[in-house]
Amino acid sequence: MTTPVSDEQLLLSMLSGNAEAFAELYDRRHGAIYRYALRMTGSEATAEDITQDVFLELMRDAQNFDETRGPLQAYIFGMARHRVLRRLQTGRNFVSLEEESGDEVMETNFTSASDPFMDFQREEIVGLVRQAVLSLPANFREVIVLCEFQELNYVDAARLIDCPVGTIRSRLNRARGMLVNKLRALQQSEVSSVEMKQA
Amino acid sequence: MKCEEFKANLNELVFEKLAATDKREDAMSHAALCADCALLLTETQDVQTALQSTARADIETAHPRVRAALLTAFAQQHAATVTPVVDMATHRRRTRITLAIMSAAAVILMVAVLRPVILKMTSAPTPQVDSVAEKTTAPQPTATVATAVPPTSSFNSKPLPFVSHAKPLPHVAVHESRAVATSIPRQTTSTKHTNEYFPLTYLASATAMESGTVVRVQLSRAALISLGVPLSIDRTERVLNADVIMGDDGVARAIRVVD
Repeated sequence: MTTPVSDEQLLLSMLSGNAEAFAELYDRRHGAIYRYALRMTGSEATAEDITQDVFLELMRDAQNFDETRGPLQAYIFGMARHRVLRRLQTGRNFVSLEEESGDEVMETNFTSASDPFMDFQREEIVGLVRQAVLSLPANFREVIVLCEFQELNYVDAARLIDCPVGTIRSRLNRARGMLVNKLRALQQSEVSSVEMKQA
Repeated sequence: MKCEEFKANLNELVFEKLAATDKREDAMSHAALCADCALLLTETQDVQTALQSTARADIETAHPRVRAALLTAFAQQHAATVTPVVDMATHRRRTRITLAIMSAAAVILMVAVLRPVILKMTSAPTPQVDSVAEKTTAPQPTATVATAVPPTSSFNSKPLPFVSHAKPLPHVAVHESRAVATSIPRQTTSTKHTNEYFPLTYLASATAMESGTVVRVQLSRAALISLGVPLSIDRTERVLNADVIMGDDGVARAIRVVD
């Protein structure tokens, strides 16, 4: 049984000009980067831009990576985070997830033969959650995206954000509390809009 | 348990499965009695479920065009940065220069390290040193440099006889310019043919010295070239005698070849 090639080995191979190694590294890591950027900015186009930027920089300055400071995955995430924060600071690329891809996503991504109603309901909830997460302040949104969606543990998230673990924990607590309130408000507004349509 | 305490522990209770069983039981019994807290608990549990569903649904990836664009960029970048081919002659020359620089650095370091020891040993006047050492009495107005240069030996093998304490010099300034370096007196007492001193160009402004010592060393031509002595680049491994002017601070100021 062969051991899988590590990210760092792929990077070395990539540095020597191996395009397959680069492709493998991209296939392995781009999904998480893209989704992180998407959940943080709410824009598919921006998320694609950020993903492309990150891998272009990796291509150009891969020799800057220092293995002693952490794994390559964290390094790549750090680059993505830097870009996301820069975009959020400019504020131009903040697009509501609902505006960009509301019904279309529901129609295309969720198909199941088992129970279409349940699937629809689940998708509705997912849409609401994404909308609620996107409306959180950036620092609270970030911990939700990293710890809940990307499933990073507190230590890794703290290292990435460069803050104490306690800060991650407290931000998560507050963010969850905010989500409860926001989801409640979103659900109420949906109910009232349905009632208005029926009336 | 009060409502405030319940709310404070709510996240831990739902998301991190509050470890202490008694605390958990307290919270649950409070929720059973308090309608508001029970609602909050349900909502928080709903949020947890919703977040988990959202995480599971998070399967999007970037459009394939991003991958294609990156692979094209990678191919272009690598086509542009093909490693230049280095011929063997260049490689040998580089190796030789590197070796020369390393050996010169080693010699300078050794001189700097051994000098205090040598000075200590020579501070007590020994007849041998006195007999060997010669003071330059050349009529140059700027400086006098004491030398102790035995004709046939190397600095490494017999350090003591080669070095004598220098007589205090009024002021010897070795500048970075080679033209100025000629102000350092020529060694007229040596029986061998000697050349001009060359300042060691790595020195900046710290070249002035009150007194100094001339130390005879043996260096390869390569090392001498690397120190700025104008020699032709052939037979670089050949060893030549050289005089090095050392300041009292142990730093070499200038060097000349003794043919």
